Amino acid sequence: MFGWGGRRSRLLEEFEAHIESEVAENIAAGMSAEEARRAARKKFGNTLTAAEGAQQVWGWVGLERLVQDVRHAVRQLRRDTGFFATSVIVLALGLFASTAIYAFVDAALVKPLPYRQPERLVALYEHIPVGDRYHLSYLDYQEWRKRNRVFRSLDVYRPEPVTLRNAEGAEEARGAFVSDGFFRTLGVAPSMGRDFLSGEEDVSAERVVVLSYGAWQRRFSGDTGVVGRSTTINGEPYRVVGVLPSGFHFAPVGPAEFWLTLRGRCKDNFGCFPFYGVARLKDGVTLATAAENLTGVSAELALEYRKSNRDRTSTVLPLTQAILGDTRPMLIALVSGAALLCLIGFVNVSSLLLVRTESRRREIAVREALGASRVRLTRQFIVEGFVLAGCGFAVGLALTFFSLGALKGQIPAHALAGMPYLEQMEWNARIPVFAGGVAILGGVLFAAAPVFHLLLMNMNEGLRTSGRSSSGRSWRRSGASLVVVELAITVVLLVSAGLLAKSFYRLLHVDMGISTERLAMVHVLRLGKWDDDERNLALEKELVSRITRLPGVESVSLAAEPVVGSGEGFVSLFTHFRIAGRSYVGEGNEALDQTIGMGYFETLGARLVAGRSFAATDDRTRTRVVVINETMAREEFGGESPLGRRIVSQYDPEHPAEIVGVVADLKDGALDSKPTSAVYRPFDQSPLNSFYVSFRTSQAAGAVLPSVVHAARQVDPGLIVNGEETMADRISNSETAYLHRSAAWIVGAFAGIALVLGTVGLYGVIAYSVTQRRREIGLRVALGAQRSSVYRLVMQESAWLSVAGVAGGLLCSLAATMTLRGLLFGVSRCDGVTMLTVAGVLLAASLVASYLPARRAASVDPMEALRAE
Amino acid sequence: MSTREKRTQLELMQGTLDLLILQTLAFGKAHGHAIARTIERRSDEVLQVGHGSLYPALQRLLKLGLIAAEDGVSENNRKARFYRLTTKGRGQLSAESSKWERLTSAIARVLAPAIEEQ
Repeated sequence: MFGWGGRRSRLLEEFEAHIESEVAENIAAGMSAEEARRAARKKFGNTLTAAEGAQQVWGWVGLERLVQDVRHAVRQLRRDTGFFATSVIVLALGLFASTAIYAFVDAALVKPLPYRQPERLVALYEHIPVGDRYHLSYLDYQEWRKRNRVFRSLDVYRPEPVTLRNAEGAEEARGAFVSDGFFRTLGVAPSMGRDFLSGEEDVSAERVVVLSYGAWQRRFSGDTGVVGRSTTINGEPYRVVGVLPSGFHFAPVGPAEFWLTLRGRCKDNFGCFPFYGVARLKDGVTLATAAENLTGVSAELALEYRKSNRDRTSTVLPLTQAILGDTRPMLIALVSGAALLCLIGFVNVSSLLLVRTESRRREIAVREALGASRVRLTRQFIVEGFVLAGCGFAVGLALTFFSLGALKGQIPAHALAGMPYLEQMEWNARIPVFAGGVAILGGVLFAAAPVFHLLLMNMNEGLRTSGRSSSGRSWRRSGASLVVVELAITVVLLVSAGLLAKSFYRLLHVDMGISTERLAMVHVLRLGKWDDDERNLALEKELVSRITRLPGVESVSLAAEPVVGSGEGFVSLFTHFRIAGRSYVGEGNEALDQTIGMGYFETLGARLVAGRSFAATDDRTRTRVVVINETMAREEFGGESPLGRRIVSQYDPEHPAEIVGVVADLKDGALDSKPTSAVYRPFDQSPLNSFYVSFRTSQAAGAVLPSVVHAARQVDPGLIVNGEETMADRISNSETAYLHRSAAWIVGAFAGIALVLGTVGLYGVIAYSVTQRRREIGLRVALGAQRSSVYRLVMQESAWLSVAGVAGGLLCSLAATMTLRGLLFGVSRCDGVTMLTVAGVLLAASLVASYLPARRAASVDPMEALRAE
Repeated sequence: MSTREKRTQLELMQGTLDLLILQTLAFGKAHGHAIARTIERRSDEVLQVGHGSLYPALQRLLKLGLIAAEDGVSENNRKARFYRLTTKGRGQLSAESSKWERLTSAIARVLAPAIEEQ
């Protein structure tokens, strides 16, 4: 500092000497002393500018000036604490919102998969006429693996609960069946023990299990000697061979605790489709090449194995996309929302800065007259903008840092199970970098607004007048356009929030084909041989009769799969059936295969459209009967009546089933799934050892639930009874509802804040404009203008701005809602009602925002206003 | 200052001023004002040394080590800063002035025929 200051004062001294010499010379030439001095000063010009020019030669001046400017900026900001605090708070909140959301995006999109080179991993599915992401059969797995030329390795997995013995009897735990190369394909090695060996997926191999880190900690108390120990799973002894690392997760199977090999499952069963595929691409092979090769392979199989593989091709997706598919549109919506909110905050602060520039008009004019260059003045504003952005950055980042843990805690456990990568959300270097980028953007904006304003300003005018009469116009131009931008962004956010809320409402009220009130369900699993029909039937009878007798229970029934499920449970579709009397047509003849107990439709409140539901007489001694849903009736039979027609399953051609009824579509899959053909079979004709008992109650379903669980356990202590849930909970906890609800809430909150900020911004502009026009208004009133016309004058100005903002915003939202497409359900992107409501809300808000200044304007005392000059 | 006078005055090009300062200092040490006056006088008031360029030029030469500065007392008994040529500066002066002569004569040769043709 001394060097700079010293050099500067030395130079100034030198200039003084220079001027003195000139003065002496002028006097010698015959001028008066005063004249000589003035001429010398005039000739030399601005000493400060000259000193700066000379100092610049030595470099470092840039830094010196920067320090000066920063000091000056801090002084300026300190002087106006109200402004400073407001802008830092607005900035920090905007930054916090976008950085916090970014942390989620970072966890979900930047590094979601803890595998080696995850971008080379692909997910494989069967593409069948019903859809493009269906399970693989054992045959597919073997043949795809053998015949492809594009994958370094190909493996399969299957999520499936396992049963364990415990103190009370038995319980279910999350598990997964995988082929033995599964972990090697992912590039994950157990942290303890070993991976599955090649060959351990065969039926003859020893039963071995790999534990998740969580299972090792919880169920084996982190015992380091666990490898080699034996444990009982699904009633069989298994030897623990390894423990997975703590950060490992594989979302498609949820938080699986026990990893078993598939041990020849469904090996010779062509009608069994249990698996999903995952493969690692060979080096240099693109996704397109891989998809092409695999399509070729499945086409070969369709020809060779006509019975099982006809019309089946394949789908190849990047694994990241397969895992993040549902979350990506939501995250994009959230990030865009946060960005828009942040932008509104920035615009708000910019317009505050504009007001300040305006009030500093004289200061600027004086400084310029004293020789400060435009560049120097501009720098001053740029530095001020960045100092402000820097403070906002620091506060916003600190907020993010301290609240990240709390934010993570907000994600419910069931949502984390589906999105395990969010578990990894933590503070990392990318977060401050992102926040820094946003802050720099803010700084640029804050600097740009006053600088452009400065360029528009006529300096001389600023000096001459007191900056009162003409200044209003230029400020009103820049300030007003900022407010229009702000209102337009608010409209975009409001429209998005409106659309999301509406689609969430639609989702919850989607026609599920059932009545959801006072309905609950519980999952029951009988251990032991699964196809012991006598025991399965006996269990059903006993359970239904016991639960029916419970107080508060109105009706009881059961089904193989729960209504509003993930669809995951439908392992074997009712595939490749044909209608008796017709030949196999090849397309669309696949349907969900659901098994239901007596009175199921009645208990759920499903609507029978035609024919009858199952009766007690529909047992194994009679003709097989089925009920189909409306979608299937329409697709297979068009206008004809399906009643009395028979459908033939190609796996069981000896038992054609007669269609006895048609039921209105039920939501067997996820809430937002499309209607799919479904076939319902009576439990009595195809009994199962695992099913969901549904019951309707006369009071709140939650109150009856414990007694039902208790009753079920009493039937047989060896039963696994779990997953008890009311229908209302099931719907609101479903992953689809969760995604939609969070998106609607967060974007809604953003929109709310935006509305407040936008209204306040508009109020600011109008209020300022009223202050500026005080004299004009006073004059008008003095000349006889009515109060009402003053109101009109002010409100008109505000109305123009709001109308421009709303119109611009509606246009922008047409484009902006493109990003929401994936999240909208039952609502069009250009929903008229939403748009009109938003426009109405915003115009009403702007009316309020302009009423207050208008009232103040109307109460202006003309005498006072005119005298105040 | 009349309009006619103004027209005959020339602003110096960057770099040329450096050479003129060095040349001025070749006769002995001088302070800023004296340097400016000398250049103006010796050029019959054609060359005007703006202060905006004189002092940055002096600083530049100081930085390059071609001149040195010392405090002294001016003719009117005031504290002033005097500049003198260093050995390095003297070498630079002779190199630059011969380069300048070559340049001007070359430019003159190029311009000469054009003038005759008119």
